[in-house]
Amino acid sequence: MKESQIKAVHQRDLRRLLKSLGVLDAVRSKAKFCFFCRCTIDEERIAAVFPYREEVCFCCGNPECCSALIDFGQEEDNG
Amino acid sequence: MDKLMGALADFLVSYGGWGIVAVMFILLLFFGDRLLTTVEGFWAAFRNISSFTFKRYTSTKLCNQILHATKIINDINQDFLPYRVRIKWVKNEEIHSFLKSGQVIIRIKDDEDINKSFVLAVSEFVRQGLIHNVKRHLRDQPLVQAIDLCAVSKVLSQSYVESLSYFEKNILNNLLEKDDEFAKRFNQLRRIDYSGLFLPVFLNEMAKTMRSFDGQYFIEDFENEAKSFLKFLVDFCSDKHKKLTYSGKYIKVAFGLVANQSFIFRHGRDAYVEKVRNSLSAGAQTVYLFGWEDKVKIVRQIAERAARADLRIKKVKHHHYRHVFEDRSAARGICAEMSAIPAVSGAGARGRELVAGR
Repeated sequence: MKESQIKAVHQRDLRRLLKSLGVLDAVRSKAKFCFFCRCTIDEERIAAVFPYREEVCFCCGNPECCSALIDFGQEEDNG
Repeated sequence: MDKLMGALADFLVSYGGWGIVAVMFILLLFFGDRLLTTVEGFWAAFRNISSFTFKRYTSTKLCNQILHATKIINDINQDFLPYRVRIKWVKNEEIHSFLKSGQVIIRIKDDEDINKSFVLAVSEFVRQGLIHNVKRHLRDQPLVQAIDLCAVSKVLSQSYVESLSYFEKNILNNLLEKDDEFAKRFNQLRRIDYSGLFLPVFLNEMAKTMRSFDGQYFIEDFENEAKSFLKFLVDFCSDKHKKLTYSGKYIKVAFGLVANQSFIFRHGRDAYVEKVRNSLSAGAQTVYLFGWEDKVKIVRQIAERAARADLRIKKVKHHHYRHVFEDRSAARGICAEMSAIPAVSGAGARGRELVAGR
């Protein structure tokens, strides 16, 4: 049977995830930005975390950015 | 009922633990879906107690709803979407494997945020799994994106109606405004979806074509055929005097519409059966027959008669849908698929396959 896997992180585990990726300090010191709108990212604003060109990137909860993330996923598939 | 309960009690007393296992197995077999809903209900009651119970509730709800929606979609063609989705809750990730994976990790917070999270999760699920063997032959990015988002819309409408309005308002409308090419393709797909042609005909024919090219890396002219077939289907929905056949390099289909009551009365169902047989003789590999409301039963009868009368028809499948007319009124519709292409699955390959559908 075919299976698809979706990765999710609960809010309470987000800090631990960011620490394992080595970006917790940067997020806390507001040195990280949303990949799409360039707004400052913090633990409350993160909607998704994804890799791009060897970097850990973030998408904020702004609907336009979520829309861009979905769009971005298609481009990466075809690129 | 008393006799049944007595017999059940005797069975359990005689066979003890194995009896309980057998009863559970039978319950799962016949009531599996409802059991999953019960499990979801159980976790829903405790979801605010801890992050563990919230995760169990969210995973169960998301998996149940996607399972329900994809079962309906996969009834049309089991190659469309992966049958099972698994939510993997992550607490930490090794940086190198994360960077290599290319996979998005969605943050799920609480019920307030749940619509956004579910939309992202369903989009990711569709992006990963929807007819992947077809999409790798399509280089037109707006077309691929339109196919995916049309499918996301279908999955959400079957499962998360609350998330559907979030999806349309915040994500789809934004893309439609921003990208003209995407908007053109999405509107074309939505148009053919209103006539029941998106899943059972457009995606179905592309998925069926791919079966004969299993393993081939890239088919150059497939994309042109896909676009040409889409244009044909859009014209088919719109034109009053319709062209009823499409004969391409890979896709060869014919259409019929059972609508004229006086024709049925004068010539009977056999006239339609003859039209189906003539279409197959003219080279069609699949004939699709449509009907609405009181014609739904007639379409089923014609399809079944045609399958009995003509051994070329290897598979008959009925797809039920909601037909939306130009004036936005809707009617219960049926699309009967009569295929001369042998099914590749084990059961279908051994003999002719008559699938009742929903």
